[in-house]
Amino acid sequence: MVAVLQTEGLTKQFGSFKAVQDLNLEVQEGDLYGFLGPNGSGKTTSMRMILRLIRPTSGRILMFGEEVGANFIGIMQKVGALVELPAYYPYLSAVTNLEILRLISGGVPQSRIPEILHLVGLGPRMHDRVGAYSQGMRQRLGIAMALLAKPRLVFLDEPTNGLDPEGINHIREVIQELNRKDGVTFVISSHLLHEVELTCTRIGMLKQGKLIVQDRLDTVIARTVDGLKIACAPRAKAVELLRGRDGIREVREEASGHLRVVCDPARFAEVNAFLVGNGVTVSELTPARKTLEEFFLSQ
Amino acid sequence: MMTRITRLMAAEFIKLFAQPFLYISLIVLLLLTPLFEVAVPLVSGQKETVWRSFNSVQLFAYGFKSGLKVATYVLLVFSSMMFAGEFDRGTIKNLLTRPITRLEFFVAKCLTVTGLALLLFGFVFFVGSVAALWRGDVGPVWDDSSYLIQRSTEEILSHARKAVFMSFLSFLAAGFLGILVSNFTESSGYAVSIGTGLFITGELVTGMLTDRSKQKIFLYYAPYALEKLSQLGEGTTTRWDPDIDASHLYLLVPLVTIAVFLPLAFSIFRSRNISA
Repeated sequence: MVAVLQTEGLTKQFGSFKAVQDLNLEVQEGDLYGFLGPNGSGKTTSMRMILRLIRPTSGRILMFGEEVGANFIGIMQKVGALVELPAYYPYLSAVTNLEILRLISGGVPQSRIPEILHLVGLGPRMHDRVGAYSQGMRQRLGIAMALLAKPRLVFLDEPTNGLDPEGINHIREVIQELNRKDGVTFVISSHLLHEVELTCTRIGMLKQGKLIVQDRLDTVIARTVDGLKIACAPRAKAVELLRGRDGIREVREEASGHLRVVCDPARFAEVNAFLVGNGVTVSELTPARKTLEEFFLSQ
Repeated sequence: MMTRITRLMAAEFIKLFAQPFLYISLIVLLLLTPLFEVAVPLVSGQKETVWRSFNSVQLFAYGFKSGLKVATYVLLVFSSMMFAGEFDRGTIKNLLTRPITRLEFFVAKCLTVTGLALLLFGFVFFVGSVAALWRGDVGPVWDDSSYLIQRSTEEILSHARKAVFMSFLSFLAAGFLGILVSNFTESSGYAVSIGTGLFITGELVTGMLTDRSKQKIFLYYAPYALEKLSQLGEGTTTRWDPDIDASHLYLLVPLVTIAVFLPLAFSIFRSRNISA
């Protein structure tokens, strides 16, 4: 696997405030990389630094194995970006807005404009003035702008902002299709953990400017498993047995009637055997996991 | 690099020609320039007689001077919005995340302002010339009192060429003042206000200075050249200021001004963090 994006010790300081601290991102070719974090955690600042819109205080940025500053033109020919809110010329149509970017990008055929507008679902309204578009349509236009030059690496900052559920689903499908068919790598920044969970294959979590987790999504999900959900009888006896037992961190009764047992996954079989051995009938036993939100907050 | 700059300019002109304000400005210039050719003689009490009609060059100078003043404000408005408008809308991030450098982007913007300056200047020149040729006489400048030819047709036309040439760089420098101002702020509204405010203040200050001091300010040259042309057409003066002529100040001062404005504007733009 080739790293299409790598940052080393990337830091941005505004006065005494460190917006991004020692960021070491690594995005492999073909990744659907979810860049997660709450508002103000430094995601957009990081993207702006990577795209050279703002100057890092320190650190290195490599794309496609090259230092960005050393071959900016060559690298940017392979990159597309939607940073924060979509920006456009409101007095021009979507077609003319894209024509401007097509001219600047170079080497993009004119036929690509209707093609990309149809892909994001703006085909029927592509000749209308963008000023008359709804927020969702503007967001689709922003995504079309990022995808116009058939980039190999695409940065999408909060791409589902302002989209309705149907729109979110459509854009998710577009992203996954481009990734699957053409091998396009996506870096998707979002504060919606659930959305990222549905779209991405790898994630990086940013908290107060620091990268706290970076791994494959399934590995992170495995790390979110923190106990068991048990349906058993008699429940009171099971609670009594489990409370105070070594390795059991918490036992609580849930409204659904299940017991929620917080313990290490290595002890799951042992808990089952212990309950059964002590006369408790276990009718259901499933690993319980934190949501990504809970996982994020616990870090 | 040249290909990228050419492509950027093509994109800039698409944006420019899509703006209704450009067409409104051209209509205003189309109406005002001939209007001044009619109004200035009326206001100043000049009358045509059986023996003497208005000279075309004289009328052209009235119309061109006033039309160019309006065109200067139009150029200032557009150039002040060149960068600030991109920041305002946030489109700057779309443009700078494409395969272009900031220098190429800056050069393309400057060339676009130069192109717009040529367009406005050419338009006012054309409208002023057509109106002047239609209403006045192309011929020598007469001395009314002694019925002698004071200045031949060739001579007055060569003065007209000189005046038009002298006024262009001064006009262009106003466009580059707009580019400089456009990099001070991220709001196009503020940029236009600052740009026009500075220009008006500059004109007022220039008006209060001594002749020697005025000659150091780029704003002085377009009005000077066209005022002198009016006087040459009216027959009230016979020569240009020898100091300005001898040291080519009408070229040097605007060029030095542009040479100061542009690197300063670029250094601000280059060092800027794009948070729009």
